[in-house]
Amino acid sequence: MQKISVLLFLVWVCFLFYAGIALFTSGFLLTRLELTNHSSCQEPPGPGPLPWRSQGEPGACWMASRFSRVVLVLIDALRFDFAQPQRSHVPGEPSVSLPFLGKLGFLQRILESQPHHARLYQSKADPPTTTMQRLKALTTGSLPTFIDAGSNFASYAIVEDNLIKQLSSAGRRVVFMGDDTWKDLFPGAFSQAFFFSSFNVRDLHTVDNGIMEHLYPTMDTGEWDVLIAHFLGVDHCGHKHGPHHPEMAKKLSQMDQVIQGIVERLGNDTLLVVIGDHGMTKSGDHGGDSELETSAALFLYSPTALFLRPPPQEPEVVPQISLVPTLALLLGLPIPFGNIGEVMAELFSVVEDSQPHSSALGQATALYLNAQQVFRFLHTYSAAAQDLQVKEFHRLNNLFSKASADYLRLLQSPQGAEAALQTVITELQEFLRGVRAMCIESWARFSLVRMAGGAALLAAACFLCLLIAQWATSPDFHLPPLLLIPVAWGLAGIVACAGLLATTELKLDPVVVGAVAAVGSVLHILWKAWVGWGSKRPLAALLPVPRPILLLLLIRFAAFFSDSFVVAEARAIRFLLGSLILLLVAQLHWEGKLLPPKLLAVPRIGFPAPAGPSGHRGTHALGLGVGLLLCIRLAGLFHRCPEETPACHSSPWLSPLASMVGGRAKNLWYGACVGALVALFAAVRLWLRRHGNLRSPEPTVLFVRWGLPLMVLGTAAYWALASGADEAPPRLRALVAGASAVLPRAVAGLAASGLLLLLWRPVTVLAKATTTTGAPRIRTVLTPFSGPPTSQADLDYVVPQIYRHMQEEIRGRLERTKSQGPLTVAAYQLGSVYSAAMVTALTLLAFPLLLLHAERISLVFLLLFLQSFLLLHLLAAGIPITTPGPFTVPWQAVSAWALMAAQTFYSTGHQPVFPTIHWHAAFVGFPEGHGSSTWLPALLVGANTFASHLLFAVGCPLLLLWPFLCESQGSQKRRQPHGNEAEARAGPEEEEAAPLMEMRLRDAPHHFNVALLQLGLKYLFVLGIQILACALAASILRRHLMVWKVFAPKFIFEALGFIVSSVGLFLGLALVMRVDGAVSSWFQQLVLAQQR
Amino acid sequence: MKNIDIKRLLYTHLLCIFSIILSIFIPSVFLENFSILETHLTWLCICSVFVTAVNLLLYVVVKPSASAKRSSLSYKVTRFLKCCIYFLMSCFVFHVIFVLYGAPLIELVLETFLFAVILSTFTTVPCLCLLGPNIKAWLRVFSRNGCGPSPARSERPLATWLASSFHLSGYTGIESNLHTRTINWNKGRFCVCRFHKDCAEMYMV
Repeated sequence: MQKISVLLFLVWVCFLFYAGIALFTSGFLLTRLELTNHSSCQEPPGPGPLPWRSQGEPGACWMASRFSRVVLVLIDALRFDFAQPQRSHVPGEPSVSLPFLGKLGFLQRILESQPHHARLYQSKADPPTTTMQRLKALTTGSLPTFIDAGSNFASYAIVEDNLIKQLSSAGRRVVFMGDDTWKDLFPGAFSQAFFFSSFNVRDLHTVDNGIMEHLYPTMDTGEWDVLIAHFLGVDHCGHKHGPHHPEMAKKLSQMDQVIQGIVERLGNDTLLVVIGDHGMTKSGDHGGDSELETSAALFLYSPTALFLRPPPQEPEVVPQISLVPTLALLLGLPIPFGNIGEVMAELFSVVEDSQPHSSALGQATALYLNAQQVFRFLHTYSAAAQDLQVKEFHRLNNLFSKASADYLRLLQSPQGAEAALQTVITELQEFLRGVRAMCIESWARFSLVRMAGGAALLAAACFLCLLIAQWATSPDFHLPPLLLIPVAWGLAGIVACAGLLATTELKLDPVVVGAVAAVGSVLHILWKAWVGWGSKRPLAALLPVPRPILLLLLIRFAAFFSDSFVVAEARAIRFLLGSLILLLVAQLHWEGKLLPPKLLAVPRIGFPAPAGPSGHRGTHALGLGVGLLLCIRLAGLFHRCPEETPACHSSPWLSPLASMVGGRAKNLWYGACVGALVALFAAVRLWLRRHGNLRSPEPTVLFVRWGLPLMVLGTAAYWALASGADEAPPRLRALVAGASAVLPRAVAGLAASGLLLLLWRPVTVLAKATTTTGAPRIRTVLTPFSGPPTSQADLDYVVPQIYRHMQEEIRGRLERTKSQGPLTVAAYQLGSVYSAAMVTALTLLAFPLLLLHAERISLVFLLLFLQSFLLLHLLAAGIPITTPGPFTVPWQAVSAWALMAAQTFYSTGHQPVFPTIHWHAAFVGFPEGHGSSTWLPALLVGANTFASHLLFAVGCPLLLLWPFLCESQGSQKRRQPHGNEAEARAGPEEEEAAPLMEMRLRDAPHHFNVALLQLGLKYLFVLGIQILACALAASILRRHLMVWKVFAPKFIFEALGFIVSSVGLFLGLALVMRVDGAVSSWFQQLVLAQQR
Repeated sequence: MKNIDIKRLLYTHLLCIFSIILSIFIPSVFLENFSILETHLTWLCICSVFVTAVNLLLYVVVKPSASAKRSSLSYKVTRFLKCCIYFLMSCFVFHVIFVLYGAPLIELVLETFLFAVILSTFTTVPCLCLLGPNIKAWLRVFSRNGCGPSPARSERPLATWLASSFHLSGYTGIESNLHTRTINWNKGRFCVCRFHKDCAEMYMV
């Protein structure tokens, strides 16, 4: 079966791409080595006795404990400026009243009234600023690496040494309340815990109210040593409303009261720590490394005096992980093994003894312990991993030796000067900071071999796509050998690789095995190509892409190598797409298809006007081009700014209607959204009716007639509920909640059943055509065949004949009745049978995807359908129909399609960075969250993010089908003026060709399959060079300042998008083939019916 | 003579470029605080005025000695007015294209329009000078089938356009000279002559 081999070939090409992506990813996104060593009380961090004040005291470990109890209040996303006072008299600036400023009034009062007891710091979080990474950092004192960011919703227990582990092994009672991320991170570590689900970011109050219910009673019982309360309200408020919303002010005031309540209950031996794990951007998101995201507030308070000196004018900036060694030493615990934070020395000055010497000694001691621990960690780590820079490591080694020698010397002569102690402190701090810088530098280590291999494999796969797409047009093209031999080679590669790995007893890495198989299979074809092309044909023929398109693709390729172009990709894509459309229009004009020939004709008698092959059809092309540009411009209004782009304002239309304040505007917008939905539905219906497919009595058509309106209704009702959920009267709350869970599921279920129906009965043809077929004349056609067709070859021969005959029959009746009744329509149904199925499938796919987006994105979806419709028409105007085949889809069509997919990705409010992922999509249909399952929310969020990739990839076969559809319109128009004239028989072949349309494809099944294969390969090539460019950019610019912020996320998004697109493409092609098979069997039934 | 024509065209373009460079430096003598970056709007205006002036100057210098009908004042005035209208239209068309391309609709509208003006002076004004306000001629020049049945050259329309420009440059010569030149021209390319009204007439003579 050739269809199967086409699909299998595409699967194999996709496998090549996947293997390349996997190999590259395994080399690029490396994780830090996690050590499982633990610090312990009995084992001092370095050689020599434990210093000063630590021996002999009860409860002392490395250092005597200063506090027996700690209350740690973790307010998620408490940005530093949230804790700042509202500055009323800033000279020169108008006093603006921001809702988040000055709401922590109690904190301010306590800072002013007790300067030696309380202190506010600006803590600097390391990126990625996602909550789980921050929690890991805040307990281990280490730097969670980038790859952890991916596991935010499937968090695992921390294996490294951490504060909680130290606390529980020291027998301290740790009570936790709040975010349930902690449950996964520290299973079984708490003596008492109250977990609340953190996943529902739209819920501002559940977690906080739950904490407050338990917080004060627990404090009053006194059955705790460490109390951790993780509040989520501020973070969720940021995600839902942004920091500039009045709700934020309420939330912060609430936090202020909580802190006040805690302070009133604090004992003298208790330390209060209030910390934000990260900040938030102006839109309330986080995850990146912008100033606003990394700056968090850190507030310390104790009823006993903590500080020797009054606070500085501006709050000090400390790294966030400094809290880990500081808390460990203050509580008399060993510092966690893997900590690379630096103690906040100021807290270790002895307050009772106000001698400067002893206070400096206290600081130096804490730092020394800390440095010893870090030094130990560094040695263990460098022995295990060898990825630290040797030179820097030696420098730090020397620095530490000198500092520790100085410190020990000073200990021997206690009357040493304070200045000498200060020098030691500075040296130790320099060492600790150096270590931190080195770790940040080297924990982004890459495996260059794998990266190069992955990129080479991607390049080879792209080249292969190009090659086979070119080969496929040659007449002696046979797919099965091209498929079987590489697969055999690939299997051989797998076996060889597995055997080699087994004999050398190395770990079997699936990525490597897959890559070896891919290389093995692709080598054969490349070798064949080398032999074939090197000898016979010129190399220039290897680049069949027309030059303007080549230039366009090159520009696209090059744009991935610049961070500013990646950041501004939305605009770059719009520009490229606009240019391509202008190019298409110009090309049409160039070929004389744009304007009616009389305009161009020479007003001279000697020369007859050159008749353009399809002059009339092209007259709309100019309008199509302008319409397309207009659509692109309008879609560009829905743009979301990437972080940190100055002078860029995200479109306010991307936010859900629920966040709008004005009632009237909300209603208007709601009306517009529902209007867009109805327009989308009506357009699809109209299109189907125009091509006659709506008259078929098939169940699929019935579904389009009745199921689609139901889906529209369900979507509209869901939006109404979602946008007004907060205003619902309390009695109806339960009903609203239930409905908002049921409605999206119902719509998705309807869409799924519609798709299943479509797969079951994809042929939407009116059966009337079969009943009216004249029996005797059919027999005359079928005389060579007696009996049912036995083989596919017979069918291929017979079916077109029958079809033609039906056409003749219908035309004969037409001539007799002189009317264009429903019979011609019946013919058109077959003519558009493939594209009708495609359009129906796309619509059914689009509705659930639409539901996952914010309401106003529905306008973008409408634009999406409109502009792809216009583009298809514009492209069809330029594609000549070659009657017997081979059929090809030109490169400009495929490139424009891929560009439009990328453009829609941006105009649906996405950006290739993690903070802008629409997490709320996970709650559509699941307002209460998902419990413990992670794949369903991941699927929903993924469907939201890659909706445009999916839609365009599935719709890709339309590029091949559309020119045949447009054929009918052209001939229809041409026929009408002719019909009135006397010489009606303008062209008999035209008359016959007109209703054939997509049946031309059926008439040449070999060419049809080859065209589908070619289309798939071309689309994969255009997508493939994008992912190749991303991979190359990420590997070449791996030390770029922006690699983790721009290039790595871009690569990940592009890779995921590629996978989604390739799957979608496969599904789309498979659908076309399914329709083809169904049409075949339909014809078969027809044949059988006639023979009876 | 082909070389001479090419040279002439080259000089025309060089003059235009030179005028653009001049427009950067000359205004600073007369105007205070003039710089391209800060007073870019002024510069855009001045630049387009300079280029237009150069084009018009060249047109006047190499002006065809027109027939009696053509030299009448009313004809000249209508032709000039037509040219102005075409120029304005091209400005607006460019403006619309820029907005469709992503230029902001309301803010920076002056910048966008002046950009349209300057692009029009670079593209439309030479066309107006060469081909006159004759849309059909333009369309024919810029399309493949514009030359009608002259298959030898029809795939190279830009070459034909170039040829038409040469033709205008060569138009300064004595008429008889021109006549013979046109006749002697490569047969495949004679269609270019039709683009120009005057030329068409000339050919018929």
